[in-house]
Amino acid sequence: MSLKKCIVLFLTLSMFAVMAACGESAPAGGGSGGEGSPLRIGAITSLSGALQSYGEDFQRGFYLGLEYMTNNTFTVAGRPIEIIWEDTTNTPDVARERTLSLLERDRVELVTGFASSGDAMASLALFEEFRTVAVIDPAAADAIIAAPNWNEYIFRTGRTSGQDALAMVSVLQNLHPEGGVTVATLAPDSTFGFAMVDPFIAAAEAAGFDVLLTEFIPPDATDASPQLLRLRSAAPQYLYTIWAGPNSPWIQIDELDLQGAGVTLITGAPERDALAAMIPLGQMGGIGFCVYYYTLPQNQHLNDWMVRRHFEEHNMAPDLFTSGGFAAASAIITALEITGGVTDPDVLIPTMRGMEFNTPTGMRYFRYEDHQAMQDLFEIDFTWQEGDEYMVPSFRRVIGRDEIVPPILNGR
Amino acid sequence: MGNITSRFPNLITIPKLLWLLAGIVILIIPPISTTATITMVSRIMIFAVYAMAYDILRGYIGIIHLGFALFIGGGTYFVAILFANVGISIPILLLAIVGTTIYSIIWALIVGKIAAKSGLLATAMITMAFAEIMRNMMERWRTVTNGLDGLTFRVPAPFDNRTFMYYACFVFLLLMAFALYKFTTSPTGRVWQAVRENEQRAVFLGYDTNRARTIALLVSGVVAGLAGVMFALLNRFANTDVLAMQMTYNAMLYSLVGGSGSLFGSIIGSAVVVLFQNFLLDLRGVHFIFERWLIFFGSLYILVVIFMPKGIMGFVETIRERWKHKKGGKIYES
Amino acid sequence: MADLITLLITGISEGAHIFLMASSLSVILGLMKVVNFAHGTLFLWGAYAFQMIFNGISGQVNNTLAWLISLLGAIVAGFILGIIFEKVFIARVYGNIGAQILITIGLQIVFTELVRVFWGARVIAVARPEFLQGVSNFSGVIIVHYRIFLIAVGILVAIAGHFILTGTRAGMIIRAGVQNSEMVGALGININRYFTLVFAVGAALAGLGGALFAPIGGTVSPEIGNSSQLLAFIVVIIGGMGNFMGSALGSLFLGVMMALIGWTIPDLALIAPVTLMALVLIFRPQGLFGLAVKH
Repeated sequence: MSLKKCIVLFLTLSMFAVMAACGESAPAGGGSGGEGSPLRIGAITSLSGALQSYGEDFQRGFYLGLEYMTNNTFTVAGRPIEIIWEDTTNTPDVARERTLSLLERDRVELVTGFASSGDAMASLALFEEFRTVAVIDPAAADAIIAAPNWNEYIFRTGRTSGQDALAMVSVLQNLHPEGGVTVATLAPDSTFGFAMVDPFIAAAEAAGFDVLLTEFIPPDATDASPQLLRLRSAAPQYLYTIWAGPNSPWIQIDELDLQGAGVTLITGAPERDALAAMIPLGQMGGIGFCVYYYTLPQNQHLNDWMVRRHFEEHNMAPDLFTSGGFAAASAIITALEITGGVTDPDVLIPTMRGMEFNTPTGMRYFRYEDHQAMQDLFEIDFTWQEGDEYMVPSFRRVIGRDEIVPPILNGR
Repeated sequence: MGNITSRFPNLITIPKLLWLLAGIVILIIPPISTTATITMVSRIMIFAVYAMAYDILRGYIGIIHLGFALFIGGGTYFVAILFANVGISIPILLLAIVGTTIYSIIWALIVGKIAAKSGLLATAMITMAFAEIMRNMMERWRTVTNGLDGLTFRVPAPFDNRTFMYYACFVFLLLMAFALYKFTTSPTGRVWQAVRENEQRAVFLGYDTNRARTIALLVSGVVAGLAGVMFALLNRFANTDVLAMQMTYNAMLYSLVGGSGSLFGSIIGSAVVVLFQNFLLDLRGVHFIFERWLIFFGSLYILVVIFMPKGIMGFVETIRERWKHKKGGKIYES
Repeated sequence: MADLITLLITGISEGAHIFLMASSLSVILGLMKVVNFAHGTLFLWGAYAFQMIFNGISGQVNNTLAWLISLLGAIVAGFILGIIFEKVFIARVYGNIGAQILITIGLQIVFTELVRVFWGARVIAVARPEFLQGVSNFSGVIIVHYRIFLIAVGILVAIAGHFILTGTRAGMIIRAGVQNSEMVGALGININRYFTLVFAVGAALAGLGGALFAPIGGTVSPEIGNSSQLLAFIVVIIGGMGNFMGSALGSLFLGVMMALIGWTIPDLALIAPVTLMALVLIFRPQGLFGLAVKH
């Protein structure tokens, strides 16, 4: 074998040695920890890549949640909290490895996060293997709480796509209690789009609404006129538009004057920057549901606090997923206060099942069967006035958490 | 050291000692490391095979396959779909392997036909299109594949034991490396290199370049497909990202960093890049600049192409040449 | 019927905006044999430069003036970035397609990430200039003013480009270089300077494309470079590599085709463009219209 191979081999071995040495850096102790031992929480989410802003919102919300729930002490049951952040880079196998690193090398006692459903799905089995509770927010795929992916270590404070669908139907039912109206959907031709449309169709039909058309647009397309023209001809009374990311169809919906053809737009309110893209719809914005917008929660001391603090810290209002981060923190602290700082799943899981916890949108509780948080959403009007920087969701009513109970998918 | 080696030149040599050391290190990693490390090294070994397969095309016969992900993706999905929908057992795994092999053979033959009549760039673009089409098909078939959200599944014993999986990956790497080594040093392998150097001349010399190319594609495709099978077994998860362009870019980067045209280079390249990425991600706690790790990672592509176009192996070779000239003669070889 | 016409007009406007990016890619590919996977990033930076300037000065000066300045900014941004890309990175890897692909992928990753660093990862809303806003309705056919404008720009660029390439000395040199750059060099012409010029102008054109693109969907985000880039490659292939007018026809064809497929067989809309590219490469590598430059 040649000398050059020797050299390369030698260098690689040294690299392995360094790596192995670094790999063993987790201090002894931790575990279910006694009085006073630091509580390590692993927080992993999309901090780079396409969903970066969602991860960053979660991060801000999580810190504020901890601050509020621990009264700015950042300790719970006498245990100081240590958070280790990881970036999934929005790639499932990297997400899995970094989660593994958190669980094993950093010996975290709890995991939270995941903005991308793919990332979450890839890591679910690890929580069972390492017997560590995970609090997921905002990854929304129904698949996460469905068999065979779900396991009892998984708790989700974020909503599931099924709840969104039911919320949308609830909005319609509120307007037309007797059913009988026609609806259509417009969504991106992607996993996300279908994950939102399928439960909606099921729920809408069950409620007696007539689904005329389901249109899908290639996610990168800048021209949706074929789909929109078809929709305009079909002239459903309501069009449920689902969109995330750039190239939203609002401008074209306005140009092709769907609203003039009698179509009322309904949608789930997106984050603020995407709300800005809805401005072309002008004052006939539409109706919809909203997971969180900072002015919506009514008489919520917690939300008022978070909004104020968020303005202080970050000079802007909290957004869609900030509330989720807060909720995750709240769930964790609430649970740990009950268990006295014990994170052993045999104690923690029974505690968290059915547990109620306070969040910026109101009280939520983890459903017994699949640990999905039952939560209120909001019915809103989309309103815009001259000078608004974005379409503003304005409160109509609370969609109660008992109105939007999604099907149990894990076989329990 | 010099005395011993001069007295027993073939018995104890530094190179052999290093190989032995390497072998020992790899063998003892599982008991002394965390699961995360074991998984990472397993992943490196699988990607090493994937990169070697890619390099057969790129570094040996000279085809740029911009859709290479479709081989590893195919292997991953065969396992994923069968395990998630049919059942989890060794016989089904074997079925997946057979399926992957057939699938890879078909795609290899198709690309072979195309590469025979199209130029380098055209083949590159066509293969890119193929991978995109496959990815789209898997997205559409979401009732089975669950699209971008992906499929989770369990794996049959003993693959569910991480240590076993690690050694399985190691054996896999050794087998594939050996097989590919045999191919590249065989007469067919020489024809590959002749084709890469100058296809017209190879034809004039009487070589059947189309046959050589087809064999290269078959070998490369099947090996990459098998890497996909191992990948699925390791991750217990599959989504359409495995067919995306980034997965092909990974193969390109690993083989480039290691050194194109060298199987060993691909192994080294995979190790270096995966370790580098993990290193960057570990640093994010140290300083916030590392949160933008993609900048460093993208720079890796650029810097390697500019400063180390022949990869690590080539770089070492250059150093060695210079050292040889300085020393004026005595070369230490085994 | 009115719907069909509306559709066709939209399709043509889509073609126009792809043309801006594809035309430069085609000439760069044909002249310099450079595969540039960072072309979409030039487009991206043009869009962001436009957005930054337009959203920034929109309140202070006349809206149309603000818009023109912003377009200029995008063009300049593209031009400068193009020079940097070419001189510092691409010039090192002429002739080596594999290296070009890798180095431009690296540039794409780094510069897309830089967009996230400077402007954040969120979408940013971009409005159309007021004088181009609005829609007209001619007995059912919907005409979007901004899209007509895009078509006009596309035609203008096509004519200007064609004129430059066929009617000027520089254009003649470039076309000769596309056919055989060695010979041109042997004739004593510094073909490398033309390479840089072509690349920079191409980058500026891509930047302009990005700036005009942003107000169509109304938002920009760091991801828009990559999606547009694939379409540009497809156009270059079906139009014939190296041929400027070919890319014009190719863009037109692709735009209309996507509209029609979306209208008739929407399930295929996602993969139709890429499948078309593969088919053209396999069965008609000289481009759909046979316009690829022969070497």
